[in-house]
Amino acid sequence: MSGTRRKALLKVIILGDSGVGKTSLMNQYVNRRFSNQYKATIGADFLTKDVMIDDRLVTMQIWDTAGQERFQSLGVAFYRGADCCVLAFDVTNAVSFKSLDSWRDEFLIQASPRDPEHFPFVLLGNKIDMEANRAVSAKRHVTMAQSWCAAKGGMPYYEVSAKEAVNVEAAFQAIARDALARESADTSDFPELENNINLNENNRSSSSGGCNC
Amino acid sequence: MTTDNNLLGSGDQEAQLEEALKVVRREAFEMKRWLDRERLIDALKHAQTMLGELKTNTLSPKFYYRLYIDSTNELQHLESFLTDLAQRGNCPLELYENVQYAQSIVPRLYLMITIGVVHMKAGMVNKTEILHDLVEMCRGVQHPLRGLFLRNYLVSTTRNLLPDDAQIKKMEDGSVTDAIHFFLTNFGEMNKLWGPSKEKEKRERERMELRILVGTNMVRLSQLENLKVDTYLTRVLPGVLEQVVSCHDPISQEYLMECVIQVFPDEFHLASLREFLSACKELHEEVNMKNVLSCVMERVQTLAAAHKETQLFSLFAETAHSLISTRNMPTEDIISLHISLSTLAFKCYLEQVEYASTVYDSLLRILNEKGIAEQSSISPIGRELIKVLDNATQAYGHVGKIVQLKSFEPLMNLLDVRARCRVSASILECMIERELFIQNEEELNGLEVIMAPLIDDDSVKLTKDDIEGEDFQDEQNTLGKAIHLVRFDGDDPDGQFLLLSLVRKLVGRGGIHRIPFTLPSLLFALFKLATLYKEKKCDVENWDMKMRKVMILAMNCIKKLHEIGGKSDIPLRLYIEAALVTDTIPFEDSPSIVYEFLSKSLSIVEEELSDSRSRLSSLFTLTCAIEKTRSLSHDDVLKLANHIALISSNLFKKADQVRALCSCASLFWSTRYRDEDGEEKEMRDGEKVHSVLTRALKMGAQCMEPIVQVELLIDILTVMYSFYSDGCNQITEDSIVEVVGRVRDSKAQLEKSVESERMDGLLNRSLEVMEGNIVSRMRM
Repeated sequence: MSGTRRKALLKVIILGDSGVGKTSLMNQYVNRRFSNQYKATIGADFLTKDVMIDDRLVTMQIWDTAGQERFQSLGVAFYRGADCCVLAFDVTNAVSFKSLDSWRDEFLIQASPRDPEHFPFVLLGNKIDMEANRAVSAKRHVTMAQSWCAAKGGMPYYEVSAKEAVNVEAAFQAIARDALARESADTSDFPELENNINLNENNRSSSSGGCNC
Repeated sequence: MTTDNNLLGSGDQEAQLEEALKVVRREAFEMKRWLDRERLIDALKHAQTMLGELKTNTLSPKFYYRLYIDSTNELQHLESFLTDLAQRGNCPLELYENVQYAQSIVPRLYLMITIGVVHMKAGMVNKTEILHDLVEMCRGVQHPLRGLFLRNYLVSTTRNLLPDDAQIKKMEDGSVTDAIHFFLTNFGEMNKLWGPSKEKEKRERERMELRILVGTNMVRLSQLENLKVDTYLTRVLPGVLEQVVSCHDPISQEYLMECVIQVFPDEFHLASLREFLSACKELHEEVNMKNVLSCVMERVQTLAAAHKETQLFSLFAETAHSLISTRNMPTEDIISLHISLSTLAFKCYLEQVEYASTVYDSLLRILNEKGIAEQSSISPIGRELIKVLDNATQAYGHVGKIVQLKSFEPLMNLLDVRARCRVSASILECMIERELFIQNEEELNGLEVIMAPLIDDDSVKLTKDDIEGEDFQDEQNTLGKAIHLVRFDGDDPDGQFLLLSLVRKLVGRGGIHRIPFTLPSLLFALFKLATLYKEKKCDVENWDMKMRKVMILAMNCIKKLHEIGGKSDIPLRLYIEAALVTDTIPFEDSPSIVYEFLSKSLSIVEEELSDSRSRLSSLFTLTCAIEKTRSLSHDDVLKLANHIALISSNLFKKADQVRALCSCASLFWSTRYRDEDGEEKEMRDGEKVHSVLTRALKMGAQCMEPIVQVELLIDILTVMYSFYSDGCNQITEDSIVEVVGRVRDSKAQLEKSVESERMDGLLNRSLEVMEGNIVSRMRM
């Protein structure tokens, strides 16, 4: 293993309104499972999945989050260090589309990435299996989503169905590729440490008053 | 929560966190460096130091969470490395034992969990044993904040590893039962850690922040594929409810009950409602039961609507009422519970009004007992009351259905006038939006009962503020619009007439402030009815008499509006409009009614308009209208025309007189009338035209301003020529030529200016028109 690069770890965050299918999307992608039952998510945590991107093995760490604000009472510290942010909405629910702007803004504020202009976002319009219930006609919807994406610097847009596994794999594959491209572009994760390595400073923490329990 | 008193302010917290994160980054960097060289023991040393930061006492939950996120994120690299090793068979089992020699317990347990997970993933160990071991070992950390996060790490990393098979396949992997046991144990421990401390007030905010960690256990439980309804009923729910009830802490109870509802699927709730609701009754007095119950009702209603289970509704109603009677619940919460109950009733049994009725009846009874009255729309009780009433409006839409709820109106009467107006207006808005018509007397009566504050001046006296307020005007506009919803079922004009007569009486009670909004609407509804009668002439008995009644009612509306309104312009225009409508429908009395409408509008011009500009423009409008009519008799046209000519020549300004006379001259020429034989003819009264225009010329000559005089003369010239070319013998070529001469004379006296050039242009254009006929004699 010496000489080889460490396996890349990509952190992806899924955001969007309550009920748009964030957990289902992740479950479909990672476990290839789907359930029609609605279960709310509390807090945030992740599943991992190993994927090959152009003969490089990558571990995707996909963070599923609570869409309801009251289930996010500890704040959104987990946004930090994300390599890609997936915004999801429900094509049968117009309100969830309108919320996208605030999710994106909130993410950029809280995660404060180095280059917010070019931070990779991907938009997923879920539940296309429920075509008949679409909030607006399918064609208009695609146009609406596409023009929103264009206004956001050409964000990729995928119409997906977590239920019928339509496009989910392809979308996440693209997400991984984007995130990986960004990771390689970052020269160093910890530039401030280069001149500051002191192996004997390990005891500082004991002065902070922690007990041994 | 954290029982230490050394929590820092948020600025200091930020600094403290930065310090800790610096250590984390530095140690993580070292850890990864050693990992790259496959020096595991060295890497673990740095991991241990990194995790030592999580021992801090000084951070509040949100700051600690940031530290936790960054640290565990770094641990992922370790896990990933070890997983690779394990896959190649190089991850020694002793590692799990080795890290137990770490000095302090927090880093030790994080490392044990990480390594345990790697071993479980690789299938190297007995899963159930390791899980049991870990969940027990974590008891070693009894500090609330650190303990909660540690256990959260345990639940997070074991995700997807827990046994989730219905039956045991391999002894050491266990089954879903083991997973359930694992979560329930962990949940119990976390709930203890999260429990209230002595410094209750101070720690409540922290507890609210930390609650999601406890809830995560339930999310995990709900994610188990093989957790089926029966296991949920026998194992999970009883376990959770027992914890909840026995902890006697309102914050825990309210939150955990909500968690149960939110994270488990609806089918589970439906199957276990009885158990859940009976546990509700055992909760602490301070738990906000409205939140808990509303939440569960909201979740199950879709499913309940599909199942149509009658028991379900009564079960909720029963629980709600037992809670209301045994607890000291704020009145607004009681109303709010009824909102949820009514929603459930509407969703499941929209067609059976008795279910919703029981909800509204019981609410009325409770509020009466409490002596609630005169609630404003901004009081907490008033706000909820409006919501519960609006709920019925949204469900039923139509006032005819709403009045079937016998308690609706009495409940409305617990509000003050302003708020009642608002509720009434939302009913009307809803009906307008959904185009729900008022089709019979009964429905109209229903409207009258419920809308009294909106309609009736006798029952409700308005204050000056009310009348001038925007709300009042909006509501009255809505009422005006709603009048167009009155449409008798089945296109029968007689029925519609009956309804509109009733509306007239209703509107009449509105007093001087409401009538200006409502009567014009009614009037146009009557015009529409007149058109309907016209179409149905063959089917209607006594048609002429009925048409007359419609138009007399219309006249009465305008008269009323005129009497109370104080303004003249609107009635004036409405009279003219009414005349034109009547003129198009040939019934027996229509000529005399058209005349009546027109003469009434003329009286307004004569008696009430003092401003010369509006007088002149009204005369123009009236002249145009009369020219459009074709049903008047010769005498009537002559009377009207003469009168308009008289008013015109009495206008205040000379120039206005000329313009008005020029305009009304045509009344004597082209207006159509009906002779005794019913034949349509034109007036063609050249003598009259001549005398009117002669008078105009005389007045024009008296005009002292040269420019204005020239312009007026050109106007007269144009009009004269049009009569001449239409065959009016009394306007001779000679007279036209004479006027042209007068124009030239007057124009010659003008100084050269922009204005005078404009006059040249005007004259030349007129002359061009006349060219070919009488031009030879004019170009002199």
